[in-house]
Amino acid sequence: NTDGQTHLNRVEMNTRQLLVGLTILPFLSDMASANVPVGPPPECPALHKVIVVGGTHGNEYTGVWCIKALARRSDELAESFPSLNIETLLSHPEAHMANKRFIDADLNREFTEEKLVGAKDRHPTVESLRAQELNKLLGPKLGSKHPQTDVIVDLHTTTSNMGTCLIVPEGDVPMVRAAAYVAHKCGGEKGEARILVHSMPRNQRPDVKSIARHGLTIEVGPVPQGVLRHDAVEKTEKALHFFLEYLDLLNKDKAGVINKLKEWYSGGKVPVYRSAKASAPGEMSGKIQWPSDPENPNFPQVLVHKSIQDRDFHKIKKGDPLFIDLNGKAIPYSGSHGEEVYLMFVNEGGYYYSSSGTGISVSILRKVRLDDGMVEE
Amino acid sequence: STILYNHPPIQKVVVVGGTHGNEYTGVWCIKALERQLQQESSLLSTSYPNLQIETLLANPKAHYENKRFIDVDLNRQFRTEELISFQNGEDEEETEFAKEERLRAQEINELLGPKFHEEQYPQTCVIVDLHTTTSNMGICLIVPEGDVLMIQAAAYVSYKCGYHHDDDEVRILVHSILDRDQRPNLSSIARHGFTVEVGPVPQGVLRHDAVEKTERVLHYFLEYLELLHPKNNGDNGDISSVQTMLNKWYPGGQLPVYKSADARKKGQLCGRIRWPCDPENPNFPLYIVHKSLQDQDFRKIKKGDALFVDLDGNIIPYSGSHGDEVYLIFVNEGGYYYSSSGTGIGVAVKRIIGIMDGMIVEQDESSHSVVS
Repeated sequence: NTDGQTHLNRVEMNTRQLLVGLTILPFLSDMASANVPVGPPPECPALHKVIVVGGTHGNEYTGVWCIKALARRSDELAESFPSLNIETLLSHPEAHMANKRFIDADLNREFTEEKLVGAKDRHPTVESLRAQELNKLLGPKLGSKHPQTDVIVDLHTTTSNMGTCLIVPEGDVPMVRAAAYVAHKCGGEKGEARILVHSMPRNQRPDVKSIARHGLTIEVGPVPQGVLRHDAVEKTEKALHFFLEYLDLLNKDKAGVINKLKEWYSGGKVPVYRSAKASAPGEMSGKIQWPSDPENPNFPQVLVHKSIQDRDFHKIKKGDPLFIDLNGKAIPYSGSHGEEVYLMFVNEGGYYYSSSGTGISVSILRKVRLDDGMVEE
Repeated sequence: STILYNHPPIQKVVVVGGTHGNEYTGVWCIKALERQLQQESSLLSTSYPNLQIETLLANPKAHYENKRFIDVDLNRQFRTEELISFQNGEDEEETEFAKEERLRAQEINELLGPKFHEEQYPQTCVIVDLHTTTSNMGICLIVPEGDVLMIQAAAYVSYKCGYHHDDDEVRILVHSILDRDQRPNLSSIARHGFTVEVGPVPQGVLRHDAVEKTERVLHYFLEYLELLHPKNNGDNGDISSVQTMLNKWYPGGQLPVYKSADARKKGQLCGRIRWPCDPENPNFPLYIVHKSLQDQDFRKIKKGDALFVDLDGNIIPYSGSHGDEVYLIFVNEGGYYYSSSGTGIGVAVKRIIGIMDGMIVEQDESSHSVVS
């Protein structure tokens, strides 16, 4: 009978798997001594529950627009990406209604283990309370239970000229591969689509997306704060579309999509920008800081020099003009982060706040491996 | 032709920054200016010996919070009628929960004005108010129709900017509120008001190039006022050296300008093509400015062109509400997401203004007009 036939097939399958497993075992023991990645293991359960988040910074209006638009298309989404359960969330309603980046402190810095666990010992802020709520809603980030959410995609904009930037954690294999997929589909460097990698263990990651098992940030710029640009919305929606497409393909035809990536990226290596290591705990990345006005800590004492304005992902070398002061005197780059580095988040409005980490971001150009999501040294 | 002024020569000039608290450029410029004014040997101190230059941070509370305003747009609080009624405590609602900016307007009126008084002129001859916009408006000099001094200043500055700096796009925008008492903006407190608007600059951000443009304009503006001083014009005070220059640069005595559409609401500066707002958040639009108009300030739009796009991606065309063909200004200005500032896109027409009388030259019937 047909049931019997199916049963036989299953047994055959199991035997085959057992045989495959037996051949892998010796390799596994070899791997045990290799570098342990900072993210989840390469083979992990399928990704289905996706939350698209907007308004983590309340005055980054694009993400809020996009999630509103998305919420009106749930039928269309279900049809396009049947293996995914997609929801949206307004991350920081209070800051958004006030058209402010944050009320007390940057929400996107509240999710380190230290802050989540230590919250009860501290004076609460609007954001620390909201972080606890989000952790309950979407997580929990830490502990023996897995987060309820498989993937968070967090929609951001920047006042910097960064085009479309996909930000992923080093070692998070599905996300590194997803970013590689999206970047290619968006045209790569020519299409101003780039990948930025932050290298820190998951429990130290301070951002909202680190709540879920996997997270990707879509950062689009330049867009002024508190303003909606049609072209920025389109860029965000395009990147989001390809991201969801990737996740859905992963569930339908994993081998096929991995092969595509191998075709697009020779040697299985993807060019990425890797942010400088954070110098202060709970920061996302290292910055070339500027001094602030003693009378107003959110107002800089220097201007970003016009020769680097809008030149994100361009190199700066020691001695090049960096800032200009109130007397019109140019201040050169000291070489503090290296003789030659790539600048990013050049003159990002949010980085006028110490809570977000004051200054200009710095990165180096590297390659990340598709197989383990790690940066090649 | 000659210009005779029936009031004392220009002396007190106040340079104002931070009227909108998150327009950081103006605040930077006044700080830099202050520094120079304090240094006796600085270029600034010696360049304008006949001017008494001061600076003012207009809305410190909003500035420290990096907000456009706390309660209401400060740059709409200076209509004489409103200044007086608040002063007399006539608005009962206001005295209990007085809006921050209405209080500050009173202070500024005292400091720099009074705007209106039967017997005395405002203490300040000229206010130059430094602004930035998120719109791609380049350098925009905003002056009131009828104010000959300011229109000539705009003519002078725009010529000098254009002559020396090819890259600068300088335009002149004229608001036609002939009665100074009806003007709601801060610079109307003084006898003469001049607004410098530079864009695009994001709110809460300082751009070096925007600072340079603002400072350049300010320099030529102060130079113009200094040149007007009788001490710089020899014995014959009737024909100033500035007049000679203007006659040479503008032989027809005419200046091409943009004239803003008349505001439909009292206390607003300029007419708008409005967008509807999100019922749950009055400062969040229901429509986005269409990408074909983005960064296209001072370009024409005609009836039927794409104007906005909605949450479902539908395009909303321009209805022709302000005329079949109009010029757009302040396209996607962040401040205009607030009803207090007047929601929407600014609308203007191209006109010619007479440099001698500061009045817009009458158009004939056939030209497109802006519905008032």
